[in-house]
Amino acid sequence: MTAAAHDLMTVASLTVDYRQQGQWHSVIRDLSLAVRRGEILGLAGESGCGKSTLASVLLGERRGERRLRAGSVQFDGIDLSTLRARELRRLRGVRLALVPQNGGASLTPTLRIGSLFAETLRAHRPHMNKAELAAEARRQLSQVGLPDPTGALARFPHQFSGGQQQRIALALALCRMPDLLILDEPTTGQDAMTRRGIIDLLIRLRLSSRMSMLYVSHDLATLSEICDRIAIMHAGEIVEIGQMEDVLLRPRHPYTRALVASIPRLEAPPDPALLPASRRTPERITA
Amino acid sequence: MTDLSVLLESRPRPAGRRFALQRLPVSAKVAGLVLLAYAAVAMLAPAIAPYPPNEIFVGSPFEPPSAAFLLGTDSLGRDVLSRTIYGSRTILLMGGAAAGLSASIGGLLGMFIGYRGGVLDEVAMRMLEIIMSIPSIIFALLIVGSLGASAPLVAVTVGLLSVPNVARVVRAATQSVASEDFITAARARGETSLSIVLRELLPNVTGTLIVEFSIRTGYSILFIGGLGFLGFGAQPPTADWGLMVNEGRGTIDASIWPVAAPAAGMAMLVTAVNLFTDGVNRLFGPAEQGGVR
Repeated sequence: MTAAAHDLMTVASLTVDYRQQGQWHSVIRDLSLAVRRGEILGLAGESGCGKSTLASVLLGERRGERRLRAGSVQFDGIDLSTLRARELRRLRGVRLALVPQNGGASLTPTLRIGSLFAETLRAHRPHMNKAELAAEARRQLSQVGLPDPTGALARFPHQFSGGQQQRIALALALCRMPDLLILDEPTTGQDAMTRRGIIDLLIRLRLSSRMSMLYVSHDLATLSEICDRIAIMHAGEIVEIGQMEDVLLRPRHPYTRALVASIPRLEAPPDPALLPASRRTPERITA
Repeated sequence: MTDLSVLLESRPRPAGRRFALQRLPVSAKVAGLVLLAYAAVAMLAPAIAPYPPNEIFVGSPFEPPSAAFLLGTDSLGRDVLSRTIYGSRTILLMGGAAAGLSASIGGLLGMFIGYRGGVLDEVAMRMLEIIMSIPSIIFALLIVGSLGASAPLVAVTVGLLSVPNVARVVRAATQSVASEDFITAARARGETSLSIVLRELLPNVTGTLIVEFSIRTGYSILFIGGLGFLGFGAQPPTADWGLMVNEGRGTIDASIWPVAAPAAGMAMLVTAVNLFTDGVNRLFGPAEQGGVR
């Protein structure tokens, strides 16, 4: 099998500009990347480096004050930039899905969870009846570990906690078992237990299906747990890409080294003498 | 027994506004009661009007107010009170229809161009601005003058003339909602533009639409009254307030009542609509809970 046959999503020499006050500014520059079939690719980088822009470009999003100046985005051999709106819509939610950064904000506040599922499922399978829609929604909610899926369908998004909202957003994205799941910082802002739950869920999902995932995050520690490969993005460019262990243990680019060095570690307690007085415990104060 | 806390917990946030009417300012509550009274009078007109509105010489011309004719009679001896009561039907129906038309068409148009954005938005906005730059009264007189005056045509004309105003406001409200994450998420799920506009956007701009409907109701009532006065509204012998003022103004020396009654009716109606709109704006307006316009 050739490398191209292995690749599900291919980004080649992509340059994306944003317009600000009448001027075009490049936020992604000559970026090339491939997500292979069945792999989880991590995309790491600081805030504002263009990660979320890249994620939305991969979904074929064309709105807003921006343009694709150069390059191409191909999904399973299909050039997304050449697709008509209707063709793109057929792809989204079925073969391509997004889990947004803020699960709560991504759920329409005026719709019950059941309606959100019904809309999502009906967008691509208009002939499903009510019973089938409800059964499928319950199945998806159980899969992401939401308690009382039947009761959840009748509730509104604001009646769930942040972690539960994120799980619902994930369940909506998984509705059609897409070929590629794009996760845009799905655990950012979540507490440690929720983050753990979402990561475990993704790991289980990965084991049970051959779904490809692009996991966008600035949190290297999280990425190191679930990703096969990782791409480091800096100022709109991919500065390093490779197997997880290689990049984390033997970073070559100075930015990657700085990023790896900034991962918080549980180490031996610091020398009390070096701590500021306010952080010294009484026991540690020496005479 | 129903547990109240369960009911409150399951209460959807936007639907919570159903109870918002209770939080209206006192002036708006009073105005609401006045409007309800107007609606009741209009609906019960045949039962409460002492005489048929168009029957001439039920009394002598220009009779002053008396027990038989509480607001006197006009130049043709018709009962002014009965005509004023029936006139409320015409104005409420035409004003409501015009406001409903402008809110629905303008609302849909505003949501659509606000959501789609880009060139379509630019072109549509410039066209709406061009339409808005032409004085409405000239437009209305041109249309009604060339197609013939009739109550339905006047209502439709006045309604359509307000479409640009509603569309502009709703477009602005839509733009702020369209940039929300849940709209992006709906697109990412592959939903159609129509589904997004009707299911995701509409429930989130309802407050703006309600305020616009109220504003347009007051405006339409005045506009339709004005057209009626100019002879371009409902035609004689219809009991129309604008028309009644026009018919009575030539003989105002003989009796002020045929002019004063419909004029006062309209003044009170528009004042009530405006006060009610102010209150509604505070609850549902663009800046919510403070409503700035």
